[in-house]
Formats: sequence, C-alpha cells, structure tokens
Amino acid sequence: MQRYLLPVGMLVLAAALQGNLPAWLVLKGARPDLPLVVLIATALSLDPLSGAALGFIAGLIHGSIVGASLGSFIVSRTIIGFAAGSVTIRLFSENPVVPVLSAGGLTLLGEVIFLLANPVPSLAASLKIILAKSLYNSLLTLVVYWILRWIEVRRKIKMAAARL
Amino acid sequence: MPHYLRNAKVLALVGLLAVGIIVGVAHNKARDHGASFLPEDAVRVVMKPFQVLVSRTSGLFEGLARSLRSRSAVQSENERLRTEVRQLNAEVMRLREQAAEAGRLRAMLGLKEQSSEALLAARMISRDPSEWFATGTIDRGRSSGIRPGQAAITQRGLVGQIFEASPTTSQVQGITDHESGIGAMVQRSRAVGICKGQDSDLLHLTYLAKDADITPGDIIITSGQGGVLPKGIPVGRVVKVQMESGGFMKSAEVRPSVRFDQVEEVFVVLRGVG
Repeated sequence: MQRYLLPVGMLVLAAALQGNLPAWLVLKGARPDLPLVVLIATALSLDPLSGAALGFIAGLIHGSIVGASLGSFIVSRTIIGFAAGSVTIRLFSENPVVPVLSAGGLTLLGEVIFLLANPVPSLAASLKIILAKSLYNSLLTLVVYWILRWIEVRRKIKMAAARL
Repeated sequence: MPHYLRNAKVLALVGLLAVGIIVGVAHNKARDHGASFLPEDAVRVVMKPFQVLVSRTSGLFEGLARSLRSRSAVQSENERLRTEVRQLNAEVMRLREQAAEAGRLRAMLGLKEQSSEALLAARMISRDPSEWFATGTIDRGRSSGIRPGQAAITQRGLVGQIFEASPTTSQVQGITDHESGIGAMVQRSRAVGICKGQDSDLLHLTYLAKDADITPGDIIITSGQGGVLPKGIPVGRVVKVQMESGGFMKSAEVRPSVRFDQVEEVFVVLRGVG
C-alpha cells in the first residue's frame, strides 16, 4: 500500500499543477499533460495490473478537475497504465529510450482513445496538438522517471541498511 | 471463450474498464440532471487545498521569473546597485500585483453595487486542465449557493456558466468551450442568435436572421432568453459577418470581452437555476 502513496500523491500534485500551468509552457497549442506524465513514469516500474489501477485513479482525478468526460479520462488512462506496466515486462526499462518512446506512444494512444469518445470540431488541428503533446510528454517523462527511480533506489538502500 | 480472455490480467483490465465506463455513464446522468456525483465531489474536496496552494505559489514563481528576466538589463551595474534594483523590483512587482488586484476588485465591487442580481465573488483556482475543454475551477461551491447553470461574470463581461458544483468548488465552462452555447443579441439592433464556442479565441454567433442588422464592431450581449443567464451581460464584439451556406441565415465571428485564460476572479450570478 505504501508503495502507491507516492504515485497517488504525485498524481494529486500534478493535477493541481495542470490547472495552473504558466502560458509560456504552451507550445503551438500543446501543453504537457502532467498527470499523464506521472502516470506513465510510475507505471513503467509497476506490473500491468497495478499500472491499470493507478491509471484508473489518474483518470478519476484528471476527469474530476476537468469536470467533463470522466468516463473517457478513466478508460484512456486505465489502458495507458496497463500498457505502461506491460512495457516493463517486455523491455528493459533502465534504458532511457524506453520511457521516452513509451511516453510518446502512450500519449498518442491515450489521446486517440479520448478523441474517439469526444469528437472535436477540427481534427487536423487536434492531431497537431496531440503530436506536439506526445513529444512534450516524452521529454518530461524521462525526467520524472529518473527522479522516481532515484527515490525508489534510495528507499531500497535505506530498507537494506535497516535490515543489516 | 476466446484465449486472451482466459488471461487473468486481461480479465482484470476488462473489469476495471467496465467500472470506468459505468462511472462515466453515472457521471453523465448526474450531470444531465444537475445532480452532484459523489466520487467526483470527493476528489474535488481532496484536490481543493492543493489547487489553492499551487494557484498561490505559481503567482509567486511568475513574479520570480519576471524578476530574473529584468536582471539582464542591470548586469552592467555594480553589485550593490544590482541588489538594490532586485529588491526594488521585487517590491514594485508586489505593489503592482496588489494594485492590479485592488483595481480588479474595485471594478468588480462597482459591478456588484450596480447589479440588481445577487452576486458571489469567487477566485479561479484552476484553469484549462485539458486542451480539449475550456473549463476552470472556482473556490466556491454548493455550500455558498452555487448551482449549475448560473453565470460567471467579471466587470468586462460573461466568462461562462457553472456546469457542475461540488460542496466547496464549482466548474465553470468558458464561453469559448466547443460545448458552450448561449442566447445572445446585437446590442444596437437587438437581432438575436446563439453564440457558440469553437475552441478558438473567437465565438461563432449563428442562427441570425438573413436580414439581421449586424456589422463588425457591434457589441454582443446576452439575450436573457431561457431565463438562465441575465439579460445584457457583454459577450464580445463582432469582428466578421458572413452569410451561412444556403443563404438562409447570417452568422458572425465574435471576439469575447473576457479572455478565459486570464480570468483570476469572477462573480457568480446567484439565480435559482439547476
């Protein structure tokens, strides 16, 4: 249970930050999706089911602060969490390429699922935003992923030291 | 049963997705009936202190960023002067921020005194958390008398409408949101239409009669039709008029009076709706 406190806490903080992003962080209409970045970075070090559960919580939090399309947020984030957890099983996640490519691909997947359920007036403009957002999330995920890994490694070292 | 469905993980995922869909459907039903949705309310109650904290902290960081930018202009001066300038800059910024806030609040107070409606002041604590919706969160909710459908305004004009209210916070749908549509009229000629959001900086005023008297520069106000929004709130200014395809109706592009992404405080018109 304690293992999930940090990710959930980070999700809450990321969602609060998401609603107060400074304008200079918006590039070509795209802004980083901080709850999604935290979800992917965290789920990469979890198993698929835990990733899906975390995705469910991420969707519930993000959907609640947006106030619309709650179901679409939950479903898309649950699938992303599950997929990110599956990446760990199939690929060596210490490789920095894994979080970058995973974040880009999973953002793309999540947003496509989201837009299927919530059609927008201009699809072409939306696709541009999604691509820019995927790139943005990829770079941020790398940073968040390594911070989380550093925290996790330090926690394990402390636990090992306590046992000795 | 297909092979992949025998996999316990896939089954659990399908279960979670089914719960997600049920939650989504229940949420939509609650929203359609103007009722609250317990899981969402719970999340918002937990989120509010974090949103307030981040909202206040981000203002400080923006001030700091501005201060860092201005520093390059005084690099040629000596260390003592630089320190003094930084201190003075910080002081001026703080005072400017206070003066701007006081100006806004004074203008809003004026609006409150002039208005015949009961108005409730609220602070925007979160804005545009997704690029697919123009929505925001204000720090007042049902316990303050806010109900879905009520108008959120500033001294400049209409910001949007409350579309969900939890006990301590409410969600505002900006008039630029693609799901937003409000009854509007041309202030000069009283021609009526519907003003729709289109996820851009401009609104689309449609359903105008083909002989409607409307020209660029005209001011658009709320029509008050339907009794939800008060009549006469400024919505925006016409920038372009065109005939709709088929030639049966006119439409216009309208620049909103209020930029949703820059709103910090709003008044909610406490009408008995929802």
